[in-house]
Amino acid sequence: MSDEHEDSVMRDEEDIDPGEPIAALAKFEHDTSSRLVGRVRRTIQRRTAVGQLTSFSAEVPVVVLREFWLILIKQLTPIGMGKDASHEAKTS
Amino acid sequence: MNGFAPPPADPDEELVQEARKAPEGDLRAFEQLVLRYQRRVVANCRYITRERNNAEDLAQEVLVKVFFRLRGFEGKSSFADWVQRIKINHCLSHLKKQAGRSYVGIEEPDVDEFDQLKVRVTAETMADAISDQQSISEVLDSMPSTLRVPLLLCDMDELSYEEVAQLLGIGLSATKMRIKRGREDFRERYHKLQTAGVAMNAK
Repeated sequence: MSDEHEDSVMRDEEDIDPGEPIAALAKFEHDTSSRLVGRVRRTIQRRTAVGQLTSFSAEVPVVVLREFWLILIKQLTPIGMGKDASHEAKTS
Repeated sequence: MNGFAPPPADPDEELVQEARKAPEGDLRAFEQLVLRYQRRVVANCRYITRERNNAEDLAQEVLVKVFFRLRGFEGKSSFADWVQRIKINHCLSHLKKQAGRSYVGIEEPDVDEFDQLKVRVTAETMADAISDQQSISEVLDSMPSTLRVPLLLCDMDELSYEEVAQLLGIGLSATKMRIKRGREDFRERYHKLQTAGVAMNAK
């Protein structure tokens, strides 16, 4: 029997009274082992470490390339260019 | 006075804020929340999925999920309701994943006919049912999934009939009917177990 059939059978029954709730279930809990908190902590720490490592491995090549580019620009800039320009301005 | 009562304060609000603001690696506040909710989460995982050995693993996955979603928690509902939603969705999706293996879908009303899904109440299980908690556990284990899951969502998690219908993807009438049958079934099995337990103790 499908859900549609089940629905159609009960469509006419507008007022189905499901009865009183089972009170014992409202506060029902289950004993846990004392290790659960530790297991949760270790899983969180492991996933955080993996996340950091992943983002680090993605960022490192970008940072290295940028630093390399800056060094290259610095090396290609004629030495003392800025100094000469300021000296010329003073003498004139 | 305008007659409007302020909404009740969330008892977890302080701890949630602490957990959210805690520097990376500091899990003390979150662990307090875990201690508060772990028994309830394990109970849900245990009885919705009926996996005795896997319940703590599932609970662990739920609690880890809660931690990593904590920054997205906007406080529109209480923290307890938010955890409950994550927990129920996780358990139901676990049930769906199991569908291709040994699980018979909760949408399948003929599940009642699958005898192998029912844990029979034997003399051994009756003798074990020494406490009320164990009795409830035995009864829940012996109930078919079609009745057990809606019953738990409604009476344990205190969801409305509409919410249960939405979560299970079935009509409102079908939901109410299953809850009604679930409650009757629960009471009947519980009564039988108690009566049998008393009879065994008397011998």
